[in-house]
Parts: sequence; structure tokens; C-alpha cells
Amino acid sequence: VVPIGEATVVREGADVTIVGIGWTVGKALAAAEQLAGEGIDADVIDPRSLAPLDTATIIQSVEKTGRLVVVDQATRHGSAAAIIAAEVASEGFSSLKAPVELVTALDATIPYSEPMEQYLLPDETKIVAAVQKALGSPVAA
Amino acid sequence: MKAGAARLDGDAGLALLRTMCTIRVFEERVGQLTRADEVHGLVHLSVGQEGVAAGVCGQLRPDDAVYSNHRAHGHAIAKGMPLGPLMAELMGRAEGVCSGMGGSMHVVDVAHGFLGATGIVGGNVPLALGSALAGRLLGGDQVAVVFFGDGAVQGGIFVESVNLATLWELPVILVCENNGFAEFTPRSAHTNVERVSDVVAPYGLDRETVDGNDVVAVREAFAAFLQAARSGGGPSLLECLTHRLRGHYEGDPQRYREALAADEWQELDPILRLQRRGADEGWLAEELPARLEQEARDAVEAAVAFARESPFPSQELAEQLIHAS
Repeated sequence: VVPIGEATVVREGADVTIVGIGWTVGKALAAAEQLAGEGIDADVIDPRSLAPLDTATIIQSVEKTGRLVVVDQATRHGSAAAIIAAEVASEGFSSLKAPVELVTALDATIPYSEPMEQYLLPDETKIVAAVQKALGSPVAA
Repeated sequence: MKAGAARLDGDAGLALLRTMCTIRVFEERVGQLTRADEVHGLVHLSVGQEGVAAGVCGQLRPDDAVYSNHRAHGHAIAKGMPLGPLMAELMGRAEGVCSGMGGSMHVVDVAHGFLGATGIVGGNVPLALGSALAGRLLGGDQVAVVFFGDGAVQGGIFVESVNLATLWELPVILVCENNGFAEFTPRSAHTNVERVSDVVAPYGLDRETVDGNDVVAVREAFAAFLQAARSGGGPSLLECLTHRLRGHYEGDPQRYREALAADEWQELDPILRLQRRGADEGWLAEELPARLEQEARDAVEAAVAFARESPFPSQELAEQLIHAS
């Protein structure tokens, strides 16, 4: 039985924390493998339940990596990703070395046509780009 | 339950036959294209139920509103939606009737008064009331027609809508395509009431149950309700008993029912029945059924070619359509 309110670390790394929600965990893992080829080592976390949310596991990871990318299929406005970013900003702000990056669906109705759908939804390429941005945009000391 | 009594004039008979035939050929082609992965997502075909769409929509004007459900292609074609843009929509193309945004379950064509398919079972009924109310407030004699299945009747919104339509005497005709199955569930598993026309009895609206596979019976019963709605006589409900020949969706293994035997289907098929009637009444020459089918095949292949030639929409379109300017 999957415990409620207990996140799991599905991949361990020290450079960046990627939180994936639902099916985006698979995309996050694929992106992490690609990033490993570039010498970037990602922690990948699956919260498994959003309410209650295991904020402690996420913050523990961010304390180690200092950088956070949250992936969510929901639209950016109204996504759980935004809540996770807010929780980390509120309770783990001093651990962050860069702004939190969100990889969500764009704020639009999901269209039927496949190329448009792909454009709106998160994918590996968008996750890799977000990680690179998080790593390349340190907060000024 | 009445059978279509009047003798058809040849033009009316051929028009009904042509519409049913076009729907049948179009949908069988959509089934193939679904299996070939050219049409995506859940696809619901109305093969076997064409008599309802043809018998109802053929009598409507472009400014009359039709609301359909998840099984919408037949209603759209019968209401005049051009085949090319419909097929292009099912393939998610830019020249689709909704620019590829909607797909099978969300086709809309305002120009032809097809105000849309919806994936929400029963959700279209109150929308049709809105169109009927708008037409009346604007002083016109337009009517609204809504198609739904027997499964939609157990949704609370159905009774709420019937109540309001009768209370306000709205020009709306509720057309139930009763195929005996709510998705995979037989009627006996979700209600004790066998006839949808009995469900609405307390509201005092005109109601009738007809053999929905007898397109002439559908046409006659609907004609009376249409005339009443147009001239201020208020709402009505037409229940058409019909048979969905294919699964609930394409790919449905249909473990919940026995398939009809081929000879049983020959008796029921609305197209064959009208052909037999036409031959008996002398308005259908022997070579015409094959010719009508060939014409339908040509039209559908032209629609497939149109759709395949149409490009995919620009990816940014989905974002651009969110805000009106």
C-alpha cells in the first residue's frame, strides 16, 4: 500500500531537485538520465500525495541541492507545482541558491490536435531546459 | 408505438436515404481511420442509429440550433456540416471545423446551427434550453433540438431541464435516442422505467415513443412536434428506440451484450428498411441504392483527401484562443 503523505526519492543526485507529479515523474526521470550525460546529477522526488504534502522530504533535498524544478501537468495558474514552490519559499528559502522553476501546462484549454497538445504539456526537453536555467541562474551573493 | 404511415414522395425519400447513407459511409471510414491512428482519442460511432439524425435534422432550418452528445457525427452531417471540415477536425487539422481544437466530441459549426457535441452526458440539455430561450427573447421562431441517450435521463440535470422547459414553454424538442445501453450498462441495471417518454409524464409535455429505426416514423412524429414548437406550442419529447450496431466506442470489446444476428440486423437496419419501402412505393429505382452508396463513398473520400491535405494548426493557436480581443 502506498502511504499517504509520504514522498519517495526515486533517484538520488546532489545538483538539483526535480519534483514530478503523477505521470510527469517518468518524464522527470528521463530528463535526469539525459542531464546525467551532461554531468548534472538530479534528485527526483515523487510526492505521491499532494494533500497531505510531504514538504519535509522536498526541503531536505533542496537543503542538499539548493535548486528546485517542479513538474506538473496542471496549468501554471492553479497547479500543485505553484503550491510546492510556495511551501519551499516559505519554509526553505535560505536553502535556495536559485529561483524555483516550474514546468507546467501552459494556461490554456487542452486542445484535441496532437501538435498543439504537445506544445502545451510538460515534456523531457522542457524539464532539461528548466534544470539548466536553475543551474545557470544563481541568486547574486 | 406508431410506424411511419404516410406514403413518402420520392424526393423526400431519396433525401433521407442519401443522408443516412452518407452518415453510414462517413462513420465506417472514421472507424478505419481510428484503427489506422489517423483519428485520435475516443471515437463514438452512430452506425445503426442514422434514422434518428436524418428524420429529425432534415426538417430543420440553418438557424435552428442542434445540440448533440458524444456520438455526434451523424447529427452534424444531417444538420449540414460539410464533410471535409468535419473529417479535418477529427484528424486535428487547421481546416477542421474547430481548427483542430475540438475533435470528435467537441465539434461545433455555428454557421450550420450545429451548436455542438459534448462529452458530458446530459450536459447539452440545459444548453439547448438556453438557445430556445434566446430565440424566443429575440422574437424569432427558431427552435432548439437536443439529442441524448437513455443514459442521460438518469442525470439530475435532465429532469431539471424538462421542468424548466415546460414551465417556460420553451421551443425545444428533446430527442432521446434510446439504444438500451448507457455506455456498457443495460437499462434494467440503472432504472425501472422502461420508456423515457414515461419519465417526463408528470410535466405534461407532448411526448411520443417511435421506432427510431423507421426513419419515416421519426420524421412524422418530429414534424408535428416541430410545428408545435415553432408556433408557440412549447416543448416536447420524442423517444426513438434504436440500436447501436458498434461498440460504445471504437475498440469496445462489448462483453456486456450479445451481437445481433445478421438476419435480425437486416430487418432493423434503417437504410435497408427505407430501401425496401422505396421499392414497394415505387420511388426507388433498382439501381439507385448502389448509386447513392457510391456517391457517398466519393464524397467521403474527398473529405478524407481534404483533411489529409490540411496542415496541422500552429501550436501557439491553443494559447491564442484563450483570450478574446
